[in-house]
Amino acid sequence: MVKIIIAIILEIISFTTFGQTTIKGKVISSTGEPIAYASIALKGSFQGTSSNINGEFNFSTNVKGEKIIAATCIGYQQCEKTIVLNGSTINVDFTLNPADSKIEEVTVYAGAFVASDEKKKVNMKSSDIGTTASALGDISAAIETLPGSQKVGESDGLFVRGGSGDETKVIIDEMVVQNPYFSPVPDVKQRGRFDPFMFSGTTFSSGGYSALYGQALSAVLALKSKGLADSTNTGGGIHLYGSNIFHVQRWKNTSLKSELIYNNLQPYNNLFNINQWIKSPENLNGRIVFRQKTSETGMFKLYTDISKTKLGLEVENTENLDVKLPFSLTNDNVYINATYKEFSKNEQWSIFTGVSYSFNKDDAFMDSINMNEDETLTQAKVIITNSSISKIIFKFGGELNDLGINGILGNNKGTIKEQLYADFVESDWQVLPKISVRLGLRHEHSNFLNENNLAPRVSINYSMSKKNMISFAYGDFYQSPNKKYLYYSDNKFKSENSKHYILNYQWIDSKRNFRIEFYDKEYSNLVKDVESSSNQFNSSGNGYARGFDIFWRDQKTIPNVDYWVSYTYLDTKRNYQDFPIAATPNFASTHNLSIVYKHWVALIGSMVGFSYQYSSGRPYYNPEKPSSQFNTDHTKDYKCLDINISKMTNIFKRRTVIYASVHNLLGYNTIFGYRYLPDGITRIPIKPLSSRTFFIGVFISTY
Amino acid sequence: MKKLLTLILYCIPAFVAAQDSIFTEIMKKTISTMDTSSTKYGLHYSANTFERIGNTIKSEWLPFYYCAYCYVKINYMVKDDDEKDLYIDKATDLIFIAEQIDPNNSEIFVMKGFILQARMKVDPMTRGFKYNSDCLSMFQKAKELDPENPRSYLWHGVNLLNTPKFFGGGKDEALPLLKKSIEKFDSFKPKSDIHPNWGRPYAEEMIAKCSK
Repeated sequence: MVKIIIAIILEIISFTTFGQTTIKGKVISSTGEPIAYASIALKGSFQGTSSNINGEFNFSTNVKGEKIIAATCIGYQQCEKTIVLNGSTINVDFTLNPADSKIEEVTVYAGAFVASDEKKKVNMKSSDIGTTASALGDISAAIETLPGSQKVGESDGLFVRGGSGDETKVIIDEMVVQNPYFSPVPDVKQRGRFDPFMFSGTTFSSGGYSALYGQALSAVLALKSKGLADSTNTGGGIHLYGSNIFHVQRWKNTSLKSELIYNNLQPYNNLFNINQWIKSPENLNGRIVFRQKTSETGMFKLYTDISKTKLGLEVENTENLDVKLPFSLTNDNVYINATYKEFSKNEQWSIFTGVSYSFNKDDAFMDSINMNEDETLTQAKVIITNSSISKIIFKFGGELNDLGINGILGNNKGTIKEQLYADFVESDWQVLPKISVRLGLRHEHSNFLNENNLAPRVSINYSMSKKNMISFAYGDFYQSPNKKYLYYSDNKFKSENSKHYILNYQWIDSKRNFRIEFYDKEYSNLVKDVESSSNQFNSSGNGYARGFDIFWRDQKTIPNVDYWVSYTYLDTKRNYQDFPIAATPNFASTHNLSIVYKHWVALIGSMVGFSYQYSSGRPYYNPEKPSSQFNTDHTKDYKCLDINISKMTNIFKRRTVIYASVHNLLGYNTIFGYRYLPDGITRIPIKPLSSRTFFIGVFISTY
Repeated sequence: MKKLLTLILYCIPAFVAAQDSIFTEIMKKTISTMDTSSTKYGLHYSANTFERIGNTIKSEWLPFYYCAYCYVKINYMVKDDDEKDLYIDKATDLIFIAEQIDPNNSEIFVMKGFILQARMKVDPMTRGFKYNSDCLSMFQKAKELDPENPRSYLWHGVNLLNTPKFFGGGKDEALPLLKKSIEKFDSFKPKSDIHPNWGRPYAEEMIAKCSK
């Protein structure tokens, strides 16, 4: 109260005393540009003014004596100066530093493709995934339209810059997901298990990613789940492949979503006469998503997903073309992810803790040979973040992974037990207004391999102007060999290693974005067959992948149209596994192009879109050729055109979305590769089960 | 020191009166500058003045409220999405301060909805779904706190007018609310010269748009 009164006294005195002081000056930014509309205030009084478009200001005051004068402007830190007011004109200039916005939010690092609903300058939004024609609501299929990743139609996982599908890890809220896709079926690509609409942010790092993550040689797909549900809501959907029903309950600081999903491809297969299936895939899936806001800044998240899948189909028999082999699979999968994050009172410290549990059990029969595998991964992780030093964000933490795999193949049994421990430090540092640096170091210890690895990561970002930036990244990455080798534990394996060098230029406007990135990835310690008939392997394989990719997205030029184009050039060779010489692996295409186009038609309240994907032919092994020409034959080019339409409407006052799409509209004949019979001449093409795929569904919710 | 204290105690009644009148005068002057400004400079100038007043007095919600209002107006004058968000962020911070000073004020809730509406407009395709229910609940709360506040009906109506028909919006839904706001404007008496009293011409404009 006294303070206020004194302020008022000063105010009155200032109005009544004679003798004016003129204060003038200029406000500029730390980079030298004039700052317009900055507020200039004499502290403790109403008096002050604003800078004009040239940063200049000028005002007169009756206040006398020593006073503090402050300049503030949105987007900048306040600057204060002490002046003595004595009737003569005073010159005061201010230099304002940019506000300490969180560095990670303003900097675009090489290799990372950030998608989010919240961040302003992003290349992709999470909702884009749902409306991309080729994606059909599958996150990884949408990621395949981004530069760096390529479409591999018959295997699971994201194939990034010459890396195989298992070189990409999927992370949800910092925690690893061991089995992000439905269980593999010979030559049939499986979808991701997660609903894209549960995430508020997606970061696809096609290389050079953060020290917070490991055990991925090529890429990381990091998904950030949403917080509290917006409101209480009930809904469901029915489509050609199945149906779902859900209920969301929202309390003040708590929300709970339960969902039941049932999919069965039988009606679809009957309708379109797809008869390779002995038992059409049938899947029952339950999910619980729980959120508890524990304080103003604290949040506890729990995600649980339990599913059971059954299927059976006939596959080609490479020993006898006349008899097809029956394959059947029963899969049980559980994924639990619990995380808690809280900030200290002054918000300078934050702690993240998380536990995840992945359980996957496959019971498969191939021609009555029993193939069983169960796999359990438990992960615990702690990340501590400090931002008490201006312009530096410092993170450190550790994780523990406990992996157990039991496999049965016919009469053979195998067990893998692994404890992998990792600790990491990382700091984001705004060195100069235009230069930021990320330095990271990750240490990993594998009990199974009895090995310690140190992986440094560096990333430097230079903003030439608000819209232009260049960044460079280097990183060292380690990953344990594929589990199919680890069963043969009498071999001496090392962690496989890759080194990434990435140079990126980006022009980013709020509605348009251009990006070009050059990359070089050097592989070492890859698994190499010594004598595969007796299961002898070592870690002497190596390889490289280099090239560049280009991305262009434009949401501005044509009204109501959003489109993007990605192109990746890939030059890769490896000498690993059973390769006789260094050769291009059969999953790698040299040229990869994706075009995604979306058009909002207001008249019918619908989003209409298409996507086109092209990949040059993939190499395959032709036994008629000498081993010096291993993998030099190529399949024909892959082409695919997908179209979709989503219409939003109201049915019985309920929000309704009708969605329809056709995959491979033009019915291009796709061949992924060939499998040769023992005679070395006869071959069976590896093809998708059907050329065109149709989808139509209706989704209703009360909100 | 003793002298100063005596002076203060002696003068308190006079100062309180003087405080009120100086505050009211400066606010009136700044509100009229704001109302007549059609340039970014004028609005920034007003916003800066409001903020200086607010920061000096600290116990009045009106300077922060008008300051937030200026920034929403500025947001509609700039083209760059990032810049828009900067102003909307600032307006959000300011209305939060105003709410701390006067927690259950109908006008503040209208402004909160008005700010959320601006935030949605930056990117309606992705933000609409997320912010719209919050926005509507602000107008709802504003109506509960003061059923006579015409601005809550006006902005609720404008919200429906901007919502596509298939999401439950449209002219037919908006018109009754806009008309009700005019009714309320007719009988509305602001608490003082410096209390919010804006929006009527816009309400008429929107009604004309609906009748087209």
